[in-house]
Amino acid sequence: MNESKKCLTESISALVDSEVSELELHRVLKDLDAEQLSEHPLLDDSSAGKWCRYNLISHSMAETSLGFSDISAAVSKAIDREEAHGANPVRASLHALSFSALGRFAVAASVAMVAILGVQQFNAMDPVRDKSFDIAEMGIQSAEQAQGPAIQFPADFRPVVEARSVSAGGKIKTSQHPVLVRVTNSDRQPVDDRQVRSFLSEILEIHSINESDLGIPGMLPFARHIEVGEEIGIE
Amino acid sequence: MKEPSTELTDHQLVLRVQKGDKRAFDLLVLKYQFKLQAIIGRFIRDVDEVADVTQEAFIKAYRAIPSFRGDSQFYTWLYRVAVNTAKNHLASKSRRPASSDIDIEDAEQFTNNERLIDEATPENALLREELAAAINDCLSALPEDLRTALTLREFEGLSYEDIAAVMDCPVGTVRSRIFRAREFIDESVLSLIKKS
Repeated sequence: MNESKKCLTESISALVDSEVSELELHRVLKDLDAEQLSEHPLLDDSSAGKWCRYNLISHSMAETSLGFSDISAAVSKAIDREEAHGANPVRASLHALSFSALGRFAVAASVAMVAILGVQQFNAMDPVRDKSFDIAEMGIQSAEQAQGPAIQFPADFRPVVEARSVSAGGKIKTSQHPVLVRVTNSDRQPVDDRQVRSFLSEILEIHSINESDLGIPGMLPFARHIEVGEEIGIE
Repeated sequence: MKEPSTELTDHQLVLRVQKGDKRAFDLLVLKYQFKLQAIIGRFIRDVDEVADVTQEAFIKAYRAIPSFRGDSQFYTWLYRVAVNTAKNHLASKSRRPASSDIDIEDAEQFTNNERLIDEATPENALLREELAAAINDCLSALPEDLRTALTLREFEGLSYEDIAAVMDCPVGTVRSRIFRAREFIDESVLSLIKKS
């Protein structure tokens, strides 16, 4: 017995004891397929013969009642005339095709639905007006940032500012990552720090009034932190 | 200790048959043909008829295997198919099934039932006794490490891992010892079968 055959036969022995991997089982079956079943595998030295006798020895040691006609070749021939299970190529391909098409459609439909719902939710969300929110957060649209806030700066206001969102907390996490806004307007006249501070105070005052009107307690829910030379802290 | 079982192999083979691998079914036939013949032999006395009905039972099992879900052991399921095939065979020949019917639920017990073994055909009984004697002689002649490994596996039903723990050796060594022991016995068994 050469080394390869010995290795295979050892796998067959382990297979009797259910101590083989899927890979070994695959190798045994491949060998069985290659050598074809003889008329009397019980009497030959093939893998099928080894498997058959190893099991016979095992059953005999367990004192199992046994019959001794080797019918395996006859059964194998009869089974070869039967249709293999799960191997109808037409049905399999149709099955695969239908599932593939359905899968693609499902993914496309899901993406479309998520997009529609997302847009609807985004449009419907008005954190300031919705009283069910404990603390509101207001999103800043980049377009809005480019155009400037609802409260317009003076015409001569032309700062080079860096602004970012500062969240005061809350359950609704709709705010985006800090956004760098650089507003430039070459037609406008430069303004000094005093004007900026004054305007900022005005914004904060309006914001405080809104805050008390809406009954939101505590800290500012949202503010724009404008850096112009020095930091302005928000308490 | 981990409970070993040949059901794992059966399950692996059944899954492969269900996916269209006919050779996997050959292995199941080679494994169970002698046990199934003994079961069918309880209903049908004629040896040739037993072989035919066993073959029919296997073909029925093959056709029905897609519906086997693994709720019960494969051998128990196969046993039911065999008993039903034998009964149908007798009914089709207008013969009554054997008087002492075997309860289908007693599949595992049946194979170890001495009373039923006594009722086996004289030829089978003789061959079985000769086989048992040959195996015993071989076991006695085996080197101790091989005999211990095979005995722990076949009589005690231990897994390779447990045998390795008992014998204080690697699992690969256990596997190799059991293989060598089987090879030694196989030579005697093969010559006995050829002679018979």
